[in-house]
Amino acid sequence: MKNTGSYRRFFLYSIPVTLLAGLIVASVFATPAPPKTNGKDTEAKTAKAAKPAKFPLSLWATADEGDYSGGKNCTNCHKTQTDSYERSPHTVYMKDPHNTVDKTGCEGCHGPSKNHVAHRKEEEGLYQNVVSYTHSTPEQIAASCLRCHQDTVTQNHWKRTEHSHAGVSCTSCHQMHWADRLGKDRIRVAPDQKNDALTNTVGKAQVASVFTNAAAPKALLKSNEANLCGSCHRKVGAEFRNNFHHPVPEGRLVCSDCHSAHPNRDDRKLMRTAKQACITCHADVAGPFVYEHDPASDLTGTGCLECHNPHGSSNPAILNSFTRGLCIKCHTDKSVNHNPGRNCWDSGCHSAIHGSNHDPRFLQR
Amino acid sequence: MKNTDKTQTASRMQSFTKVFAIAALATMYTPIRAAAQSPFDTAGTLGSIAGAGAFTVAQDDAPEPPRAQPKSKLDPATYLVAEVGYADWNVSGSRNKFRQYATVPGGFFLKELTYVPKMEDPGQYVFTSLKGIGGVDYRGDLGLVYNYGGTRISGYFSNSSFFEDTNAPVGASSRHSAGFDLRQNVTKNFSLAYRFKSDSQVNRYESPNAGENQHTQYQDISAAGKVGPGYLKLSSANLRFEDNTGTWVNSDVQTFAGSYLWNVNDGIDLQAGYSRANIGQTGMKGSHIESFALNGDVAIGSGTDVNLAMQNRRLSMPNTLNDYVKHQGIESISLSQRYKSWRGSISLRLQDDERLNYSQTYVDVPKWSTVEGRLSGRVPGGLRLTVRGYTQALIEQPGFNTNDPSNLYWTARDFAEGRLEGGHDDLSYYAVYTYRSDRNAARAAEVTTGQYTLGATYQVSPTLNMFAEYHHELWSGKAAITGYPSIGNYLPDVTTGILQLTYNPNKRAYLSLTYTGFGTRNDNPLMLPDGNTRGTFVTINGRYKFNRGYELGFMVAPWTYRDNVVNAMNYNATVFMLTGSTRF
Repeated sequence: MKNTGSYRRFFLYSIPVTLLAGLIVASVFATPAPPKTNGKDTEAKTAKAAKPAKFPLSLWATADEGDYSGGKNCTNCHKTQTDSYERSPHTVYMKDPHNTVDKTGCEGCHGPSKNHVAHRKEEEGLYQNVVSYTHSTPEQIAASCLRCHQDTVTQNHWKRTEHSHAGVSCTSCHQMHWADRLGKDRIRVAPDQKNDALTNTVGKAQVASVFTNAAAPKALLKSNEANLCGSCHRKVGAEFRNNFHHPVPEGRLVCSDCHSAHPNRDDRKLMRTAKQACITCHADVAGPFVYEHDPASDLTGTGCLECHNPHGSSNPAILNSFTRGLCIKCHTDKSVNHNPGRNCWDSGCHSAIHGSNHDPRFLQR
Repeated sequence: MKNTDKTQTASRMQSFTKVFAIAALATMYTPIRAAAQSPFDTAGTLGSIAGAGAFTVAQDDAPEPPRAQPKSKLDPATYLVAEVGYADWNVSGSRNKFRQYATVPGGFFLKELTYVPKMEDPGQYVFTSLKGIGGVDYRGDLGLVYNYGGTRISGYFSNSSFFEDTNAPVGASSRHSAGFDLRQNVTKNFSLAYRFKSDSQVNRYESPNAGENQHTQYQDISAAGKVGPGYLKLSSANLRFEDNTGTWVNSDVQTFAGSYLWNVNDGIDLQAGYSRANIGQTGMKGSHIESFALNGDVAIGSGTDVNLAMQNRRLSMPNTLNDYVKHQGIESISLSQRYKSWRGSISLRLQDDERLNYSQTYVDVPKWSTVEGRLSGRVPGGLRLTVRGYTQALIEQPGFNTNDPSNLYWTARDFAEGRLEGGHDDLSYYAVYTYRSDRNAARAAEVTTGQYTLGATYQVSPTLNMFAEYHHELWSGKAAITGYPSIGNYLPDVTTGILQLTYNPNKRAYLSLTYTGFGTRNDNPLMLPDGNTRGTFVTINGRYKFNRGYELGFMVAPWTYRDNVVNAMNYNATVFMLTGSTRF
């Protein structure tokens, strides 16, 4: 028995742990110390040294209770928006009487209304006194939403996600104002608003309307997930148009069945593997088996993805090669002379290709 | 011939230019017309005048005159929608292929019944929705939120019926699933949740493959929320798998997991997690898998972040006899940098698997190293460029006990993707190119693919939108053992495309025409079905909304599928569907 892994692993692990500890220490020591004071003006200097909240958080941070109107003023100018807000399930939470005033009603998302009303005719100051989600950067939008939604993802984590790096923020996918209480036409809040490209992106969604049993979009999403995610993930959207695919265009599956759009809070990012998403439905191939097929065991390579392209493929069973070409990519010696016939797995031979409890060559389940 | 083409092209360009000019004029005209007619804007103008007056009067300390109230642009809110329909498939040929993924409703059916009651209590929200009732494929959703007390309940059930695309007659496969969620907020920042899912599947395959009849039940309970300076999550999950055919071993997986995310300060986050899965299988010894993970994010500058992660898994699978991994370690470090509109990241990932070999007498430790990078940002011309990729190397190879003991793992893998996007208010376009290469030096094997996707959405006029996309995959392969057939003969090229026109002449009418097509080029050495296929799907969809919320819709979908090798797979269908809905 030869075991060379433990010592190597110890040294291998010690490197990132040491680096991490070093970075934490460096970061703590790098934090600027508060300025020294000498008696009288201590309070004033401390106040000056305190880091002011950045916009848009400063709107809430600097507001007094009197700056909030309880949303009474909003309807005077924004009748369409207040009507559409009343139709959204988000209202349920914004009207919770347990909420503090800065997290209630319109002002819970758009900031206190007093200064906005006072400065509403000033072109320069208009958007400095209200949180306008169409005039904010992705960082500002995330900062506003994450005041309440920290259980989804923190601000620190959000800015490190791939979505953040691509400039995608909360309102890129979610919509608080609904034109219709039933969730129809979420994109078009105002009838004269131009149709968003989202509704036409994946395209096959139009075909999907033939299949009437698709689940409705959840979590206040702007559109069904196929269209919404496909508006950026173009190539993936195209793959679903292949002859063989998971039934996403038909509405039988949605992207979030396998993927997490907010990955940092999710265990999947931390400890799970791709196979664990697959075996939620395909539990029969989960194993462990007496005889494991290495790539299917999910411990080497990319697991299920070694053989399957889950979005779509031109090959049956969404395989990434046609028939026995899949096997001879690794088992090159079986390419020409080994029982030429049908596929390796459905010709009555290697029928337990994901793993077997009876046969090391996977001939029997 | 070429001159004729040029003439035609020029003519088309002129027509296009005219259409574009008309569209541009219409775009310019529409807001003016809308401004003149919109009660909102009229009220806005009045409001401005009143506002100016108020300012003047306010200087005289006189009371402000009442403002004109703007009107909502929304239709009246509805709380119930009921939609019924009739559909005829008119299908000839392989019905199994036609019904492969989901079944189109046939005959009379309830397309949708959704109810969202008008609840006076703002803290409560209820919805229920039924779809496809009357057919074999249906779905129901139920949601109920009681915000007082912080309780939330939601549930669903669904049934799907589908077929394997076989040329021999094989019965329907089906799937029935149901589940519900229950969440209770204990405090403002801490909640308990319970989830239950039940999933039954009956899959029928073509002989000699055996069918499947299985049931999976999943339930978990979790406690999560803010604790101290971080976020704690504890969960316990149970996955039970039962095979009703007696082929597979029933199993029960009990997983316990806990993680804590500690926000050290604005620049540092640390997350640690532990999980243990106990796997029980009927008539077999118990197995377990333990995982420990540590993840840290450190902001070392205003635009610079470092992420360090390690994961350690220990596996005990006493029933497994062939090569298996008993220990796995993954470590990674990544650096990401933001600069103006540009963002880039680079990471290094190391993985080692401690494998017990077939004879269970020898441990080998294959190792992989992966370098991954990503860069995205704005480039001149209003374009956005994204480039990402990775290169992976097998730095230590394991031994194999097979007929040909050469290394079976890929020794090198490369992936690269470039994406360019651009556009303006009326046009957005994109181009994506993907390259992937997997190589096994020991067997001189190589599989390479290059894929590109081109697409655009164009708002031709305020009422007409056009979407087009073209996707092409090129595959090639080779190995030390040549001769026919080799790897390359089993890697078909594929093309897919879509063209969609959407016409909204006014607020009430909607008409769309969608063409989707795909085709494969395949050597198909064994002359098997599904290798040389071509599909053409046209869907025409129209809806008209009447004054009082009534809506009529129609759909005509001539679909054609062709298998050039096994003609029994072909089908022609012309789905015709008529629907009518009302809202209250």
